[in-house]
Order: sequence, then structure tokens, then C-alpha cells
Amino acid sequence: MANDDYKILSRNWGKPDSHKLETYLQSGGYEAAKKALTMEPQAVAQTVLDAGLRGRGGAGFPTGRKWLFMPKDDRPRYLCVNADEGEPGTFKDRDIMRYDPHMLIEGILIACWAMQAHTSYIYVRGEFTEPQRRLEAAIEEAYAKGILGNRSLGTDFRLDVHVHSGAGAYVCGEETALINSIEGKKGQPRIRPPFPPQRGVFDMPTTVNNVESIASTPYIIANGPEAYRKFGTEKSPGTKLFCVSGHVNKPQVIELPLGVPLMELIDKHCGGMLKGMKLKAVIPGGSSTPVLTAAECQKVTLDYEALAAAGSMLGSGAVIVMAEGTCMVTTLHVLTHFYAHESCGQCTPCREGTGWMAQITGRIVKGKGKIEDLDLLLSLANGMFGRTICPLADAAVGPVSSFIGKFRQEFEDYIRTQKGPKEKPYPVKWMS
Amino acid sequence: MPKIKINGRELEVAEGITILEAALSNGIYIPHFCYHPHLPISGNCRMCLVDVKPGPPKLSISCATTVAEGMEIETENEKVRAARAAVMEFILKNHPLDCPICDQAGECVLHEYYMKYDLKPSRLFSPEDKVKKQKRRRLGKHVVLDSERCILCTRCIRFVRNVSGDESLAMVKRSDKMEITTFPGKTVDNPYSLCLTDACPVGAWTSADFRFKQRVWFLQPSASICPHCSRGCNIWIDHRREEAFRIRPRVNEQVNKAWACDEGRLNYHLINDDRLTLPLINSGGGQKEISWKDALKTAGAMIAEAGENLSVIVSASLSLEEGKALLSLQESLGAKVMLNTGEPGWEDNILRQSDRNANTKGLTDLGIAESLDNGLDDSAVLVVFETLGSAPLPEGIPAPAIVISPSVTPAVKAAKVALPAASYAETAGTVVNFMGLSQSYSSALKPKGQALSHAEIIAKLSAAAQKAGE
Amino acid sequence: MSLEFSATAKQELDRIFGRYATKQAALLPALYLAQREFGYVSPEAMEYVAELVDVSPTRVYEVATFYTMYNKQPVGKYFIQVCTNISCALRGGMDLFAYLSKKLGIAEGQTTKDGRFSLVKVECLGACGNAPMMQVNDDYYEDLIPAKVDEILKSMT
Repeated sequence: MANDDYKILSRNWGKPDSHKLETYLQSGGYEAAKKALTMEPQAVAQTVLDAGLRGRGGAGFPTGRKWLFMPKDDRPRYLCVNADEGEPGTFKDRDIMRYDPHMLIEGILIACWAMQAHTSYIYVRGEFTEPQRRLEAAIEEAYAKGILGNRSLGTDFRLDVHVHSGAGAYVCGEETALINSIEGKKGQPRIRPPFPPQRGVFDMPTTVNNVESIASTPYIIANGPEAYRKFGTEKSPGTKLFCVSGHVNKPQVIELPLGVPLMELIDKHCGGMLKGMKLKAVIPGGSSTPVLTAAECQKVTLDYEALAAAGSMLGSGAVIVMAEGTCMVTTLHVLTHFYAHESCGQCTPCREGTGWMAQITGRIVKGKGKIEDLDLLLSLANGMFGRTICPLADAAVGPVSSFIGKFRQEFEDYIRTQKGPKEKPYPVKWMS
Repeated sequence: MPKIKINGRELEVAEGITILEAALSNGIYIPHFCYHPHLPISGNCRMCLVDVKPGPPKLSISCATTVAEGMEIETENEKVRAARAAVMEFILKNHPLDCPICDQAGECVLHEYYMKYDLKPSRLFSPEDKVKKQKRRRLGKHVVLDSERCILCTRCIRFVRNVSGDESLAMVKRSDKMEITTFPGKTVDNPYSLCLTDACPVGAWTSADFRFKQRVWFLQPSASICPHCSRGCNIWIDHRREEAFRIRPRVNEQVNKAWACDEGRLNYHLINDDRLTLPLINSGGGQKEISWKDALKTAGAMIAEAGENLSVIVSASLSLEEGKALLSLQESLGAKVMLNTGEPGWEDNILRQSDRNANTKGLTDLGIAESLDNGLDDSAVLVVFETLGSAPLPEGIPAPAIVISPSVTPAVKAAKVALPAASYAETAGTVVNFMGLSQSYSSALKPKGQALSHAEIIAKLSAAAQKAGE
Repeated sequence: MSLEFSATAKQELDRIFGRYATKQAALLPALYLAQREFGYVSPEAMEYVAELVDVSPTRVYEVATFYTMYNKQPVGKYFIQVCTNISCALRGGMDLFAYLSKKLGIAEGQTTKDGRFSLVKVECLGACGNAPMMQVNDDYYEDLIPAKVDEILKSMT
């Protein structure tokens, strides 16, 4: 196995004009789609299922199984690609879309063939102007080359792909909110049942998949499930784009096989701790995943099972690294403020709970907190968890419970000693 | 018919209904805010969470979970109680302490639920955390919205979009800043806007007419039937000390579901205002009060003298019982009895019927079919029976001789003899609506002053006319 | 004076309609067109868009106020949106904001007197590896240091 055999998603990044069709074709692009179009649609889905690809947006649900959920009636079917990428710390789908949009388009073709869907919307968050433009250009190239359109790759299969821009709402990353947003409505999640395969976009059967999940499928079809399973672990096969940010020397998006030890990711691949600072905590999978202390980080590997066993989650694979000197109180408030801002407002526990939590942490940060506030926050978190229409409330609970749970002393000291906001909540001076 | 268990109790329920519907129809109460039997499901308040086995470890909302064979549901265990108390706390966190000035007190679902499912002290250690929103906005001719009291259950939105069929209300912004409002500069002015005050479980939507008028625990509700169009919406007349304070719809699945129109509701004013309470006579020098004895003597003489020229014009809202009495009057006096159905009004496919009378079908089926349009000449001696809010006499007919009415109407003012009648709110009767449905009402209040029921007046007039003819 | 799309915008809207099974689905793209054409999304703009996509102005109002990227008030020529979420905060995002606020002489949510710059804080923009960063109108400016910020501001005339 060559050194970077596992660079499945990112293999073309760094090439000049990597986003152009010629570049993609040169490295075997669209061969997998051609192969898929000769297979039975069901077989394509089964292949992806056999490869063990799990949803890379955060939920980790087997992608092939999702495709197989689509009903076999004759209503028009839709694939919605979730490029809303709003989870704080996550910035991987952006790179797929701007550096290798054709890999995504090929994956869309494969997925739509498997599900016999003739229309796909790529829901890209509104702020991602560059990725949207690259995608639109790539789609145009694909139509011009007959990859998309009435006779995809020379077959009878019709496929239309459109970019649909979001407009500033993290909640639209939730699949039913995303569907509502495409329909021209507020991005408010729907109560389920019915689920998207029964009633999705325009009430038609719909599957929603993350960008990275879809972009992983050409490799699987071209090389087979066994080849994909060569990488990663048994329960978490394949590769993942890890987004590393925070206090490391080389923050970046890096593709590695699942199961890589967290400390290896930081030390070997990301240049180690920023300026040699000492590690304090890591959020392993995006802001919604429970934080790990430096001690917990030492042994943990980055795959679905290990992180679940450690009491956290792989999530979107957004690794946020915090060095000693990071104020956990200030940081928690940054996050509670985020969830309060993003709550769609539909259901009681999330709407009022996220707002209240942000007010309490805001007061603590300003030096006006009380010791009782900590247990109150934990209690509010309990009141929200598992009680809402969508998991945004659960996501908001992640940081609140884990930060207070694991850094309680720091919170209590802050409350007792701080008279106002901390002067230096972060060990980094904004310069250089 | 799936067999399920709720709190250990075995039930056989209809296929395809929700757990909430199954529970409620079997006398098991599950608290809820956003669910309303006549509105689409929303599932946002989260108050109706129950524990379902087999099922996910999370609690499920009973309003949106369909029953399945073998389901075992617990509605009162620790988990469920804790969930309810949490929802209550979240709602109350921003809910203003308006109870002392809020009209909803006494019929507030939030209040009731606090007593039943919460009773915990507030943990809002910093009251300045309460989110401030717009209060007491007059958003329509009849309705006022207080967004701080609003629990965002969306019943009002679902009402306008699914029942009154308009787009007057919006739910704008998001997170805890979310608010119900109208498009800038616009109002809620559909004919059913006051239904918002019924649909609203708290005091967010209130009636501009009823605001601050009365505490509801002092009000006595009496069941009645609205007489102002041929639908005959079922209503409650809420009154105290012989004064009507408001009319609310009474649920009837066939006739009006849970709704009533604004006009019908606000006509409760007719029960209170401008009532004719004493007999009047006009012998040339203006109307004067007289006794029943004298009034009847005069009226009887007028009737006897009229002979063939006697015409009886009646409101088509008189009850069947009153109609029967009129028919015997018709026989005994040989008079033409005509229905004054008045001009048809607008109608829609929600509640309003163009026939503005309560009993046109009933009375015509009885045999009082002759319509007022058939022309009356100057020699006609008119005896007019009006009901509350009934159609005025048309132009071009001679001034009425005798008018029997509950209110001081133009006809009453023009009459030689005016006799005070009880309204539908002060008598009992039966009316037949446009569907052919017979509906009965009984009295809510006592007749005003010296007013008598139409039936009594008909009997007395008949007797007086007989006596005068001897 | 009633609002109307330019011919190009109308053409684009027609293309957009072709993508979806309902007219309403064009609402989010149509609001972006309105923002471009009219400067910001006013109640008049909402009523105009409502007619175009065949929904009530009420629904347009709901949608416009739900999403943050539709400006319901006019903004400066350069709309500076600084990320202050976690990854940017860890690398100085708060300081970046304070720097801009001081340099431009405006507080959060305000616009400079000459109408050139508006300044707000926003949530995660999905560029965390290049923190701290900001979005100005449609473009991202990443890996910011004070000198770079000065340069960028100077170029925005």
C-alpha cells in the first residue's frame, strides 16, 4: 500500500485546475459512474452498503441503507446533497466543492442511478460563494459533456443537478429543514413520520446525504467494497476528511483512514500544538460533540465506536484543539450563543432552553454568575435532551454538559473570582 | 381495531388514530397546548410527550404517534412527569406575570397545567432574562395580541391558514425572538378573527370587546343557538346578573365545529342594549308607556277591526313552537302570515349562510310559506313579530299597527302599539337550520322589564282580539 | 414608485423556476435577486417577490426574517461579517472584531457615516482552518493579521 493510497477524496487537491473537468477526467474521473450505469441500481446501493460507508455529515448512518429505503413506486425521486456545513469547526465539504466538484457530481450520478432519482439539489450554505460558483461551473461542464442531462454518459438515464443556496441558518443542515428550505419555506424541521423517503421534497421520495458521503462513492464503485474496507476499522471502514482547527501549528483539512489516533493527527499531521503549548481539551467532532480532556485524548482513536465509547462522537470529524490558557467558560458561552442564535424556534424546549442557557453563560462570563447557575445549566440541559423535534437541542446540550462536567472547578473558580470578562480568555495573541 | 394499553388499561381503539386521540376519547387526559381537534397537527409544544413501548428510548409526542397493535403507553411515569415539568418551566421562563390583568385568568390552560403538572418554584434567578416582545397590539378590528404571553403553539396560524382560509398571520424570526405578527401595516380582518381568542390557550389573543370587562369566574355560561343566520351555530352566552358579557362557540361537530363568526358573537350586545321593556302606545302625540292590559285592549280592537285586511309579518327566526302558535292565530283570525326573511347577506363555505334567519326552513316546513314580497296595499293592517336583530320592514309598506319586538327598532318607533317580547336568550325553543337539523335552546336570562315570550303574546293577542270582536 | 426587476433578473428568475416543481421553491433565490436589485429586502421588495413566486407577502415575510443573509435594513457598500465562533475565537477572532470596530469607529451592527462599511459578528463561516477570518459581501478573507486587514480595508473604496 503506497503512502497515501488512502487519499480517496483529496487525491486531486493541490493539482492546478483541480476543479476542472479535464483534470478530473485525466485521473480516471467518471469511470466509476460509467460502471455504475451498467449495474442494477439495487446492486449499486448494495455495494455502497457492503463497503460500510457511514454518513459523513455527523449522524454516521450507513449510506447504502439510506439509499435502499427509497420506495419503489413511480413518484419522482430526489437526492438532496447536504452542503450546509454549519457545524462549528467543520470546513471539509467546502474543499471538496471548490477543489474537486466533479468528484461530488460523479458521486451524485452514482447515487441517483442507485435510487433512480432524476433530480438532485445540492443545498449549499449561502455564505459559500466560491464553492457555489465552482459547483455551478462544474455542472455546466458536465452538461456540455453529456455527463448530466437527458442522456447521462450516453445512456437513457436523465439526471439534472442544481445548486440551491441557503441563506444563513445552521438548522438547515437538518435533513427535513433542508427539504423545507428547498421548497421555499422557513428551515423548520418536520415532525417524523413521515420520513423523507416517503414524503420529502415536494412530498416526493427523497434521500438527503452529506457531500463527503456522496463524494466517497466513486472510489467504492470503481474499486469495490473490499478496497474501501482496507482502510479504517471494521465498524468504521474507509477514510474521513478531518478538519483540524484551533491551537495547532498547521490547521487544515486532512484525509486519513478512520481509526487514526487523535494525538497522531495533531502531532504527526498538523504540526503539533501551536507554539509548543500544552494541550488542555479537544472537541473531536464539531461543537455538538462532548469535549475530551487532555487525558482522555491520549488514548482515543478517531472512529465512530471509539469516540462513542469515550462518551463523545465522531460527528463531522471537526477536531477543535484547545491549549492550556483557553478559558472554558468564555468558550462555552461562544457555543451557547451559537445554538441560541440558530434555534429555529419551533419547539418549546429548544427555543426557550437555548436562549436561557446563553443568557446564563453570558452572565457568568461577565462576572455576574452564581454557583447555582452551574446546576441550573445542567438541569436545563436534561430538560431539553431528547425532547425536541430535531437534534439541535441535543447538540446544544453536548457542550454544556461536557464542559461543566469536565471543567467544573474552572467554572466555579471563575464565578467566585472574576468580576468581569476575562482579559485574556485565549492564550493566542492576535498577531503574526 | 388495534389493542393497546394505556397505563396498564387495555383498550381497543380505532385504526389510524393517534395515541392522544385514543387517550382523550377514553377519558385519559394527556396535557397539550398545540394540539387542537379541529386543526392540523403541529407537534411543537412537546407537552404531550408519553412513554411508548415498544419504541425509541426517547419519549414520543402522543399527538403525532399513530396507535399500533400491542403498544404499551405510559402517561404518568417519572420520565413523563419530568418532561412535562420541563416544558412548563421553559414556557414560564419568558411568560410575563400578567395574570392579575390578563383576561385569560380563570380559563388559562397554562395556569391550569401549572397547578396540575408543575407547582415548582421559578428558577429564573435573573428576571431581566425574560425576553421582551411587543405587547397589546390591536392587530385587527376585534383582536389584540400580546406576544410576550404567546407560547408559540401556532394554533392561531393554523386557524387562519386552514379554517378562515387567509394569510393574515405570520410567524417571523427564529429562536426565542420568534413572534406572531401580521405583514407590516396589515391587520387580521377575516370574519372569524375572534376565533383566535378561543383557539389561543393563553391570553395572547384577546377580544378587544371583552378586554377588562369581567372576570370569567363570575360568568355563568348558558348553552344556546345563534339566531343570526341559518347555520345556527351552537354558542355559550356568558352572563352575570342578567347582563350578557360575551358569546363563545360551543362545539358541535356537524354544525360549527369549534367556531363562530365575529358578527354573531358580537351580537350579544343586542341582548343588552336598546331593549323594549314596556308596552308603548302612540295615540297621536308620540309614544307613551302603557300597561299590558291597556295595550292588549287597544291591540285587540285594532285586530278585530282590521278583518280581512289583517296581515301578520313575522321574523323567520321565530321558533317552531312560536310558529305553531302563529298558525293557530292565522286560523282563528283568518290573517295572512308572511315571513320577512330580509335581504340575503354574504355567505362563505366556512360558516356564514346568506339566509340571515334562524328558522326559515322550520317555519316554511310548518306551512308559513308566504313571502313578504307579494306586495301589500295601503289598506293592510300590519302586525309585526320581530326577533333580536331580525330584518327590518322593507320600504314602501304601510306603517305597522302593532309591533312585537325585543328591541327598540324603527318598526317599534313607527308602530301604534308596541309590545315588548323576550329574545331567544330569554326563552326556550327549537329552530331548524339550513341542513334540516333541529336544534333547541333554552333561556339564559330572565325577560327584560315587562317583556313576555312571543308565544304568550300571541295567545294574549288572540284572546284580546276575540274579546274585542264580541 | 413600485419596484421591478431588471430584464436580466427577470430572465434569471425564469431559469430558476425551471429547476423546481413549484413556484414557491424559487422564493429563496428570488429574495437574493431582490437583494441584489433593490439593495436590501424591504416590505415593498417582499410584496414584489410574493407576486413573482405566487405566495402571500406574509410567507415571504416569514422567510425573509428567518434567514440571516437577507438584509432587512440597508447595509454599507462593504458589509463586514466577522466570525466569532469557537475556532476563530481560539485564534483571535474577538480581537479581530475589536480591531475593526476601533479602526472603523463603529460598534456591532452599525454603518460608517460615509456608508462604506457595516460591521457585524457572525457565527461559523466554515473556514476554521484559516482562522481568524471574515466575510465581506460575497468574499472570504482568511488568515487575517492586522497588516492584512489594513490592506483589505484600504482596497475597499
